[in-house]
Amino acid sequence: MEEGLLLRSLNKLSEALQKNNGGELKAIGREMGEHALVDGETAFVEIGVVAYSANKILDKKHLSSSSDWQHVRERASTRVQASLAALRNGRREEMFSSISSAVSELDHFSLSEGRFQTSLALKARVKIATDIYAHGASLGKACELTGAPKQEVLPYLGATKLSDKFVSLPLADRFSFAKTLFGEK
Amino acid sequence: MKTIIFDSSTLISFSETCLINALYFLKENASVKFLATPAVQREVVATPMGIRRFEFSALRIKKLFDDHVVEALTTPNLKAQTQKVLSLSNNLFFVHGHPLPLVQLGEAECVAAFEGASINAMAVDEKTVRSLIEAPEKFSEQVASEYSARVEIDLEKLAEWKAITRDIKSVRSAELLSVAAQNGFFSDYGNAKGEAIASALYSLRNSGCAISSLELLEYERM
Repeated sequence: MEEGLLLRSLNKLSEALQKNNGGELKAIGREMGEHALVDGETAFVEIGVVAYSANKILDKKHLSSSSDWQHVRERASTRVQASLAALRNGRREEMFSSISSAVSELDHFSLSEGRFQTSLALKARVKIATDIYAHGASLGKACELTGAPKQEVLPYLGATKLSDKFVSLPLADRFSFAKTLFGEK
Repeated sequence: MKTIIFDSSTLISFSETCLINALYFLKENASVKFLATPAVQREVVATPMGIRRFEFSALRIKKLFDDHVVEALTTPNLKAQTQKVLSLSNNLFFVHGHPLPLVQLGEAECVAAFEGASINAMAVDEKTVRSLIEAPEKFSEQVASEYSARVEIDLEKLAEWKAITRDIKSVRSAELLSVAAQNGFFSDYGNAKGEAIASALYSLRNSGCAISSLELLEYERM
């Protein structure tokens, strides 16, 4: 695992959260899937979930103008900084639990104040899982790394153009083979 | 009798699109056996059970097992062979010197099952395992464009991987449904049969079956 990359990612997240920088949060959310797959480090997923959720909250006026948002953002930001400090001191479990607490803060807020029954954290996990899948991981591996349920990721994948990219055999061959499997009873 | 082993992605696609009866239909009308490994069964039944929004789908799949349409597979060497599959498939490609962990337990079990049992095909809707079996080099090229860094291949491991997957053929839910359609699964739809088949295939794609837009058009023309 590359500690430096994790440190830099947490640092970027911390700064973007403090500055309410939606563009940077969005960019962080996009990068974390690849890091999680290449490094096999699920903390990158949690960083991505915080970044994605915070950016979505900033995007939605009814959420970002809520009086609770500033308190939630400050608490999430404190958790991210605690995560960063723990990583600097080599306390990996604490690093992970702190970043997970930041996810919980945003998740709880989005569920109580938002208009959807699905939490932002779950949407973020589905999106990151899709990105990991696009980077070559199987559906199972993408879901394992992100904690997103397959039942949520599959329809999201179905709405993308990813399957247009991965064609490995001619359809006629596939269908001919399939027919050979089902002879008369 | 032909035997097909199911990955969870295909079972979920059938269940989520309310096309699960196609599996009953295929089983009733052909000499075929459907199998699922323990990890796949856990993924599609035990794990989603108790989560309300997934539970009905899980119950539909559980009924497949209860009705013996799909049977649980156990082979004596499944665990050991699965570890071998995981170790190979997750050390084929490298980015920045890190191996890409591409495959997970349930999928690896499906591949491993071919070693200990007489199986003719693997039903898999997700693209990675299918592509790794059918065209691993092409797959690495397709994936490489997603990375800014170079994707390296361990050629020795790749040769080993190809050797253990050489005889594995795959089908997707789309092919299974098309065969069912050809054998009369949609005959109740009368004049709308063609539309029903085409739209059912689109439903499968929207539920995650990795079928391209061109392939869907090809199926429509058939």
